[in-house]
Amino acid sequence: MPLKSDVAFCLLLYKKFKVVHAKMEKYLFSTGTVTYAIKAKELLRRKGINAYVERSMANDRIGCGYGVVVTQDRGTAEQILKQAGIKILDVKKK
Amino acid sequence: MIYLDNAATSGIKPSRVIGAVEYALKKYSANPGRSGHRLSMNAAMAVYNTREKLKEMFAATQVENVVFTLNCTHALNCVIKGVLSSGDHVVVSDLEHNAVMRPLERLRKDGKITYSVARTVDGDDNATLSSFKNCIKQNTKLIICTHASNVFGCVMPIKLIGQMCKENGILFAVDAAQSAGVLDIDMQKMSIDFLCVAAHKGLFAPMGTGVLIAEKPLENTIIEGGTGTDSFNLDQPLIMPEMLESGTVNLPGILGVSAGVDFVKARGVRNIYLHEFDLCKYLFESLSLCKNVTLYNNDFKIFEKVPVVSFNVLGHDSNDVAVRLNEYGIAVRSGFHCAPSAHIKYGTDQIGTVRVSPGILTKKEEIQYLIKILKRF
Repeated sequence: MPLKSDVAFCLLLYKKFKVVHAKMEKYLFSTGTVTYAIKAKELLRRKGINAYVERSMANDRIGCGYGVVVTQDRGTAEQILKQAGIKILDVKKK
Repeated sequence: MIYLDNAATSGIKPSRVIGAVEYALKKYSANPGRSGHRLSMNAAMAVYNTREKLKEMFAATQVENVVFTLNCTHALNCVIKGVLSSGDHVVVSDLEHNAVMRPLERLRKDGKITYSVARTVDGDDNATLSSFKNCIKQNTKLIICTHASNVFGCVMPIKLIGQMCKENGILFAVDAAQSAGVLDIDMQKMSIDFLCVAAHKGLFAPMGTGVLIAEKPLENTIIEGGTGTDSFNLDQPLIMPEMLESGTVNLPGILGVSAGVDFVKARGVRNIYLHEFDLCKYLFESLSLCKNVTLYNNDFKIFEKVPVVSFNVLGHDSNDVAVRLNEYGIAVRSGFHCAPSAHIKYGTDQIGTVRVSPGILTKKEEIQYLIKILKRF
């Protein structure tokens, strides 16, 4: 049985994590197709960067598409994608 | 029924393929690459993973080069009409299927292209290579070659032809309808630019599934439409693979391809080939002793033939033989197998052939039963 104080400590940690996570800057890299978005996600995750795929509406009436959202280190993520030949159509701060 | 028509489609699909199709319909019933909800994203991920598996299996360079098509014919049409433009010349072998010949003939009759047919020499790779070389012209843009004849089983020297194409700056497309899943294919080592696969054959996927792996860009599409991207642009997006996949993809079929690839990997391409080859060799040798049977290959050597045996029974039309075998519960194919030039080459253009193509689940006793019936004719 966990002690009451342990539970309280975990709850506190969770709340702090939620606050930090909410404050964390997120960037959406529009890749156009879902295939490139997934490819980008897989690549970034392999390099230790947290990423997920999201439906996006790129600027300039390009229309629908997909992108990959990163929650840390925009510069490194951008560099990794460029090196892998993944074309980034647009970057938006979320 | 004893199913010996695996060169047309793998008749008995593995239970894991059937399960994958059912699972797709139940759990992935959403449109991949169109929406952002969880179901759609899960479906897109499943499609992506299948592309990855195919990329690895055939040693392609990029996952986006893997395109899902309706069948091998569709894949070949994408290449032929996507690569060729006015004034181009093409070289093909004399064993090609109509999936290659009809699109080429259409372009030729429209006055856009010309093509030459290289004479292949069964069992002599260098002579076959020389034939291709001799057909090359200054405006030759593309060489298309079947990896293995769908009628007579002859395996073509793909690696040698690929190397020659690379040296001469010519694009190289391979029709792997009869070889994918049966013979090892490495697009890099074989210098293949476009690989066309009938996933419903050697990869055990459902009918209506094919794959094109395009390592070089295609300039034109044969169908345009929704790709789920770039909606305000009325020009077809040129980003692979969606460029060639307009409209909703066949998700249950694609998951069937994925499970089929797993099945082939688990069994091993080499093991599948050896099992089917042994059965064909046994059939070939047994039939060569039957006075009433005509065979068209001089021999049946390992890695020189895919598991396909064509023959005729003296005094019987090939179709009649197939009809009678059907009455005995044996499924084979008869006629011309959509490859007229192969029949002209082997002198069977008037009568066609009976074609036997066993599969991984075929037993030796089933081949013995076939031989027993044929001896009664």
